[in-house]
Amino acid sequence: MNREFEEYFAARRDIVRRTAYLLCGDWHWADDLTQITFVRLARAWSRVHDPSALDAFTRTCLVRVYLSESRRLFRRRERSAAAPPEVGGGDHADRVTARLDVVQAMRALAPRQRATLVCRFYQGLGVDETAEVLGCSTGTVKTQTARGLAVLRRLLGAVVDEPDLDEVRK
Amino acid sequence: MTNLHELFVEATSDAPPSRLSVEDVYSATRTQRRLGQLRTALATAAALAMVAAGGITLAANLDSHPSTGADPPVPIVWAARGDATHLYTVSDLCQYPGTPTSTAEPVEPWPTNCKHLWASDDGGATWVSRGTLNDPPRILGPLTLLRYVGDPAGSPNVVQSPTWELSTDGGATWRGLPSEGQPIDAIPPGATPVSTFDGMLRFFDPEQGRVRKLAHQPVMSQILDSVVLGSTDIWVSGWDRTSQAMVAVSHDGGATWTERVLPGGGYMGWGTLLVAHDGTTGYAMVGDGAPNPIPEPELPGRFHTFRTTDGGTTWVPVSPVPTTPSFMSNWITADGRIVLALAHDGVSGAVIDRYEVSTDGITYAQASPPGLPDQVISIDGSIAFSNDAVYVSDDGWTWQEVWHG
Repeated sequence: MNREFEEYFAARRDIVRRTAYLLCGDWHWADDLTQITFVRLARAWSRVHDPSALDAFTRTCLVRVYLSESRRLFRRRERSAAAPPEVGGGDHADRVTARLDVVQAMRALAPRQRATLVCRFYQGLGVDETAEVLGCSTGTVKTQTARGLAVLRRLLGAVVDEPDLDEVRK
Repeated sequence: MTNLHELFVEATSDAPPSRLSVEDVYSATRTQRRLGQLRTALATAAALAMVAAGGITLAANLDSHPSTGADPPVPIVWAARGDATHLYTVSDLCQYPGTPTSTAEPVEPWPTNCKHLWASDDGGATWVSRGTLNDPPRILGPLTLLRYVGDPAGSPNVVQSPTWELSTDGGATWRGLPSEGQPIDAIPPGATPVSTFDGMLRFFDPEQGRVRKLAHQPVMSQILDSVVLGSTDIWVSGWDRTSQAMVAVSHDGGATWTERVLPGGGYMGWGTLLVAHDGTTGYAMVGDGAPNPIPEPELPGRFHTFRTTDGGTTWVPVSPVPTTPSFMSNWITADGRIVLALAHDGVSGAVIDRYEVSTDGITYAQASPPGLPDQVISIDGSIAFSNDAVYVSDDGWTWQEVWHG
């Protein structure tokens, strides 16, 4: 189709897939989200005139695909609980592997809260950029960030620091 | 590590290899284009058909939506509790063919994908489908489920190398576990016994996230029941190699065993252990009747009950003659009473409709645990279910209906 698209796919597939995993918590679903994202990018490729905006376009595609899918599959794949699922405590989950903790804790968040935290603290986006990706106001981003962090702090049982965005972007 | 970015990076650091290739993307793009053309063509045809039919609605559902699954379908065939709020059920949606009455009769295919797992994280108020499965999972924690995925009808190596999948999100997603590796000398902290087809004692090791086989197994032909108390006590009941009922107890995590054939043996029965909370007193109940003493319409069989008060070293019958009614399942209530659930043959299998209670394992009296319906299909002291309802108990005696289909 296009050598440039193939190079971009090769360079960005894994980071898109990892971001998708943080959003959905399931590698198989992450693969699906990644494929859908790149399919949309492929269809729009000829209309992308600004190569420097590719990452932003792809990121926006991914987050919106995830939010759309999570609404459609809401009841089938997971349920955002009023009372967060138990993480740690008497369950073995926390001991199986520590890295599952944060993924499991993320499940307690509503999809838009997850997307907000991933944009801000994994992708290193500012409030304005996150609002653009999510298609919401900056006030909403701030609120979602604060609420999401509060839940993670409670579930992970530790002080979760907000990272320095300049450090994240490096 | 408390920096959220570092936590996110760590969480994605063990990504399994992706099979997604750019060719897949191209292929999906082409398929989407074709589907788009097909939708357009179908929509046009549907519109023409509606016009031609004078307004008859023609529904074309190209975007099939998944089942929303507000309620598990019935009948319920299995239920388990992860904790007070996390419940799991399995519904069986298939009609199974009867036994052919002659060789000329065509053999109907056995249905597949019949059993569906459902999960509730709010005590049964709402449920979500977790897809199909072959066998009920083992519930290891509120959100931690283990399922056997090896095919027992497949390779003979399956028994030597059973394969497992673990879910740490209540059955929403599963991941394969690494192979068992070398057997372990003693169970690790927090281990949970896991049943397997070969009668070997295996445990789920939460530290390593894998199922492990115990290196020193009790000498039994079949293990029927196993219980872990505290961090090092393992109690096992089953049959020895001459089909006599026996129990084995380890107080060092499975490194060494005290094995005892129950006195006056020869029971081809069904052994079940009841273990007191202190780890020294236990009851073993063994049927004396047919190879499968349950369920009989008149409940003819009796169970011999043996008791140990020294942690499994000596077992003595609680009575010279068997006094324990034939039962389907048994448990100990929070206040120490032994409860037996008695069954009879119903139209479509055994149903439990009577309960007898004892404080000493010798004399039993009929009783009715409050909150249970007239009949249930299965009960274990914590959760019970009928075809279309689920009940839970926190003390083993008082029950509450938490879902009704």
